[in-house]
Amino acid sequence: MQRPIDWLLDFYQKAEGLFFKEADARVYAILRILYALVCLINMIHLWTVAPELMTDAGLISSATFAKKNGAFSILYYISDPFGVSCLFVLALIALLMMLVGFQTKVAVILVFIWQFSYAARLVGASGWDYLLLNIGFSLMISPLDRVWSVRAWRARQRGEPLPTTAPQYGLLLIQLEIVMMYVQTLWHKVGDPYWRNGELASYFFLGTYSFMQKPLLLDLPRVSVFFSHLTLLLETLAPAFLCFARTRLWGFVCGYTLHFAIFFSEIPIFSLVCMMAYWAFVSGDDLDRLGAWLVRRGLPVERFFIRH
Amino acid sequence: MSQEEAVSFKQQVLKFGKGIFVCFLLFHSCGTIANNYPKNTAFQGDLQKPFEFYVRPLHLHKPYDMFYTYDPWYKFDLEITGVDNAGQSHNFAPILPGLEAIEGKGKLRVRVTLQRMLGRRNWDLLESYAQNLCRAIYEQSGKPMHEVTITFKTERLRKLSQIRKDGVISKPRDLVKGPFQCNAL
Repeated sequence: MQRPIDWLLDFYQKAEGLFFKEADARVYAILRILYALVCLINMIHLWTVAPELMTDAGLISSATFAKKNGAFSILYYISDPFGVSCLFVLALIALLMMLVGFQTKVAVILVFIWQFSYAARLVGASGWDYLLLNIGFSLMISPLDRVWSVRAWRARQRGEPLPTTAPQYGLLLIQLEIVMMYVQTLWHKVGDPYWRNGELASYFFLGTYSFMQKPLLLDLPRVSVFFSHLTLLLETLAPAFLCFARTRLWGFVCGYTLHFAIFFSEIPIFSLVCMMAYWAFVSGDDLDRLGAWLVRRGLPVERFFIRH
Repeated sequence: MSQEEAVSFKQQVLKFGKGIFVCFLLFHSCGTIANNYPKNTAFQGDLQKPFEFYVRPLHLHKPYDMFYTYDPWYKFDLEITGVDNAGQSHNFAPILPGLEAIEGKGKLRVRVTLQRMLGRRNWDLLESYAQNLCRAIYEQSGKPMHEVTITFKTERLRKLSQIRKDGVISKPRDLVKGPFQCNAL
């Protein structure tokens, strides 16, 4: 009979094997670049409302947030317009460093501090802010710059190239986050009467999140049912398909279709965040196939995509 | 310590560090699942508690809220009424800084902030907003206000069956908050 300590050791070794299995470093590089780009877009969007939401002259004082939230934020201590602008500039520099893979560890830690600082200072934070925060946490503890980075370029110049693989734990954490996000959303939506009876799409076009705010589907109830239930179907299929190599492409098709539709609302950044996160599911083989496909179409990406 | 011993010691430390890191990764994975677990079961918040010490300070515990039901707002505006020390009423625009009006639907994040101020647990945010309004009115007009009242002029979507009957999309409802006494300026 197996002793509990043997069972524990066996479990630990399986966990270590899973978390430290080598993955293609290009996947981390793609996530690093896309994450930095999406955060840049989000930051610019946020900058336009910084006077209203992040300064003491705006809607709510920092002291109120500091008292209310358990979360830490630099913005509790810096709340004048000039100081807040300086923080935005610092975050911009950190994001650019992350984008090009220069001092990536420092950059990604600064970006994470920025992310939770602004999220703690907002009562109007959105789902995408928390998704960026959770993905940022996983990226912070991951090796992001072994390829396609200034660090990798410098290492090559010195004749000491960095390894082209990296442990996959960061990718697994992001995959888990994305799967849980879809499980949670389905859990809530299938219990909601308006998602169930298919009226939700009609309401969506009338609500403030819609660009048009017109009763487009009011007299087309069956079209509304189709769109509402198609959304639920895509939200079920996307994470399930993304998990398996053979269906991954279809996972991308389902997820990108869903989030392309959400582009036509007031929350396109949410779509960008999800579209970025799907790349945590891809493997080196997927990237090779993508590279070969791009090369066949005449795009000069051989140097980046083809493994040597 | 010989060189061999030093190398062996370093390897032991690295192995130990890796073990701690694997345990953390397992812990964090459990935390991700627990944070997304529904809170209306018999467990209530007990599953989330072991992870609170680091997910709360880092703000990693918040729900994603991806349109679990429809957004009920059709129109949203605010009206600020200040009463000065002589008892006279004055109207002001709501957006700070600068007491600017909401144009159209307004900026998304600002609108959502104002909407969430209506939440039962956010009275402290309303109080802070009211005090900031008092200060901004004083800075702009030079007149100290005795109190301010915030009126949320909202229109919520009616049920589709009702809209189909008479074509009226929304139902107006004014929510009056206050009056809030202006603290000494």
